Amino acid sequence: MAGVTGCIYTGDIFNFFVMLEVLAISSYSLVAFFKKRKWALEASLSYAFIGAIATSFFFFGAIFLYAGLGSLNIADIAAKVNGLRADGLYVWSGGCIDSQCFGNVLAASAMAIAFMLWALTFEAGIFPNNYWLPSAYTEAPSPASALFAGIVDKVGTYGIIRLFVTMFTPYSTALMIKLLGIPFRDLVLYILSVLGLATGFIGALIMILQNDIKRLLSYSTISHIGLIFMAFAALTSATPEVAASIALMGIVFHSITHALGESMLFMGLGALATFAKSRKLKDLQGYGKLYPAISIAVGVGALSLLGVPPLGGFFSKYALFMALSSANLWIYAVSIVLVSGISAIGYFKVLYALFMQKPTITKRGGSSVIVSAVCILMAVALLFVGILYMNGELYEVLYRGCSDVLPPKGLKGYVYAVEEAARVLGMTP
Amino acid sequence: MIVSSEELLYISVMGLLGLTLLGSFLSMRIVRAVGYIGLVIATAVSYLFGVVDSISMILSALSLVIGFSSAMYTDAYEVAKYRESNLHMLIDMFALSIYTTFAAPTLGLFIIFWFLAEIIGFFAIVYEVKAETLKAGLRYLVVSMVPADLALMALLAYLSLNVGFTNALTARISEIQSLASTMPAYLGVMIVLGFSAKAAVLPLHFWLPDAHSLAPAPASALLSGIMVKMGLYGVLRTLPIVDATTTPAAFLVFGALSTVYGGLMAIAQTDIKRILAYSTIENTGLMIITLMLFKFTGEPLFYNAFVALVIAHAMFKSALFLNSGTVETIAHTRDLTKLGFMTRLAPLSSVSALLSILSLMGIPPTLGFVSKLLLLMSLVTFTTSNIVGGIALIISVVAGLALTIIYSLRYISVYWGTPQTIKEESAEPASEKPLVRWELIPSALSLLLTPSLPAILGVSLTVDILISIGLATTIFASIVAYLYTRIKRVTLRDATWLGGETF
Repeated sequence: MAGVTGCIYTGDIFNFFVMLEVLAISSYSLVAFFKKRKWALEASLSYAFIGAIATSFFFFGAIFLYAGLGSLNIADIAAKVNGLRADGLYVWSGGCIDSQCFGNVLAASAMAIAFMLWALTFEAGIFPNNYWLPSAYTEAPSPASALFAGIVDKVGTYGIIRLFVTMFTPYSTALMIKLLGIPFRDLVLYILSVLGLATGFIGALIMILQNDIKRLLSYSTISHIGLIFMAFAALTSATPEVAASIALMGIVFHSITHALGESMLFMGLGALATFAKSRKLKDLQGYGKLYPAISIAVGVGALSLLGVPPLGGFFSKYALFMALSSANLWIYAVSIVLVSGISAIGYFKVLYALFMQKPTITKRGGSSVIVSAVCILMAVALLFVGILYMNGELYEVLYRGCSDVLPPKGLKGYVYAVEEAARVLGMTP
Repeated sequence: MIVSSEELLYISVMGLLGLTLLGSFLSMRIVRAVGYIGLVIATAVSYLFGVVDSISMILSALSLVIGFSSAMYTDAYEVAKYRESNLHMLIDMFALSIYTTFAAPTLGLFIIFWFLAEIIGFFAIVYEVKAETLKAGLRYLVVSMVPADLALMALLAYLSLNVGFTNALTARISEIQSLASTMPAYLGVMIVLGFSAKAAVLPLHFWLPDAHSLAPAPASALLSGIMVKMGLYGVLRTLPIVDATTTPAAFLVFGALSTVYGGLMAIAQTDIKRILAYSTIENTGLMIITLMLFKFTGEPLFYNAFVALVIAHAMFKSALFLNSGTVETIAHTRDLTKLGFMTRLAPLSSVSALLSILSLMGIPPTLGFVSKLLLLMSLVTFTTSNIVGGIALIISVVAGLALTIIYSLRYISVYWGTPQTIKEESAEPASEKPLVRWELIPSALSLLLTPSLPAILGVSLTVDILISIGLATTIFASIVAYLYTRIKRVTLRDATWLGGETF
């Protein structure tokens, strides 16, 4: 938890790296929580091994950024590559004269992007870096899986948004050189969104084949992260600003609803699996009648992930759809619905097993008050978010927030806020 | 606080929905009946207040009538077939969710209830817990639900880009054309294709035969009688902002193909529910043809033909699906080759089947006749403006209608046929009445609604039309009544008058 909060609050690339490490190390140990199970150890080891490489890559990326720009502060880097004057920030590094800073900005930032993206897509579980995710999520204890799926994933997304929305904006001089006829930044975003597309389809397709519920949920997470990454296609410099802010809003909103829905499913189904002493879907048959509260909450969560109005999931998917369609990227927009449709089979298999089939046992395995309460609470939250969004209030708030964050307005805001903070703290030279 | 009449309507509809569902959970028939009747009245009142327009009113009233008879039918059916009593709740919820989809005045409510109806539809299809039903249900999800959701999302996105998100959600569904300009052709094709998947028009039709034949009979009646109309309703609502050339042309071709394909496939089936399922594909093909012609020409004749087809099809198809359920519970088989003796076991049911089949074939003075008359009239009108296309359409539609007669006769041979094997011993003749009572409602309506059809369509009535319709109805009804009494007396003794066979 500390790692996640740190990652999100930090204004510094190096601190981001440190927090990423904190996060990663605690995740490794959480995955290996059941140390008697050999699969848990295996999952944890593979996660840790590759995770260590990925975080080292992030460190390399940070080094390159420092070498190129002489700074590790996000605001400072943003100001430099966008050519903003922010004298208060130069306390961390020397100023730039005629876009000549410390080293070669262009090469450094390209290298940094390459290294950092590897780490961030690893953390988010994007194809081809998704192989560790299902076994790790499956073997971790259910609350930990809920945390992983809900929040840890989003750190990768957050990192990428910070990279491309705050630091390397369309207005920056770095990374906007033409490569194959399109700016390099847009090329990277397109590649990310194509990877997202592949991830979405692969996640959904593998998900419908799963019989292990936690594995099914992990693949569902992968597919949803794929959906979020698809929306990066609408953040390129080619899209109008309105579409870009809707896209950003969609990413944020979908992260929220997915976090709520997926963590609730992990907790609810994880609890049912504990009661059934098995994670197999066929051992959960008829549990809807034994544990109605948990099962109804799980049903609501699954329908929200599937995208059924008036639950939150529909509106967040719809926001992504709208962003992509208003940016005229109809292939991505259609793919969102197709991916949801494919994953619908998986969700409905769960619902079918829970509600339609006859229970094989008649006795309840244990008390479920706390789990039920938590799950019901999150289901109500999903419904509430959806209705709030439908009324337009949440939409207004999110939309305004996101269009404020977007460059160039949001960029200046961010840079000057940090500068102001630096001045207040008495660090002016 | 002064409550406006519209809010009062919403509250009363909600109350009636709750009342009906409560009656359903407590298995109180009278409460459910009161709920359904109250909803019909509420719909009529909301039409008078201008909350919903005429097509919404017609379709939602239709869904209430069919939902009511299917739900009441289920009470006897679930006991006879499954020996348990929880199917009627599912059927009630299904019927009411479809009703609310049609009655929804705004786009947001329409989308919400649409999804609800789809999900309940899935659970209705997989009610019999078997591997095949699950497969059919999942195919229904992927082939029918996903394209329809895509269409809904694309429509909502297009409107949101025009008028903003919240305005798009609260937009009156009947006023779509005032909100947005004509959409580009690829978008129009995509949205209409999505909705037509729900209506099982080619090329996204293949989910329907399995889903409709494996669902319990009342659920099939709702799926086929009313739910496929949701897709057509969606097409009708988007029609004003669809482009006027590419999309209609493409879907005329698809409609003609579905007509012929559905008819041909229906002939080849031996399961009576599969015959009816393919017949649904054929009929939705006809409906999409009239809709697209309406878009081409904009004349009310085509629209009237569409509405008449929808009403007629909803009545006879739901009656026939309920009838197939009766056959199944009495004879314990749906295989056409093993049936043929049913009229001796179930005389009342054979009358109901005869009425619906006559309407399906289009024999005057049934609703089916009027709708097919209007269809052919509109096709001829279209031919005057576009000779080649018109003739091609007429040929395919007439081929479809001819095929209809063939498979209708095949269906009716369940009652009057020559059975290869006689399995009357296994049948339960006593269990006919409680089922057929409710099945007779839609099948009788397909005869009795004919005089009121001009009023529904808004065509002015003249005295001579009234007299001729009245006369035809009387003669027809007396012939059917005579047939019924004769069947009852004769068939119990011998069957020589049917084909020379004696048992």
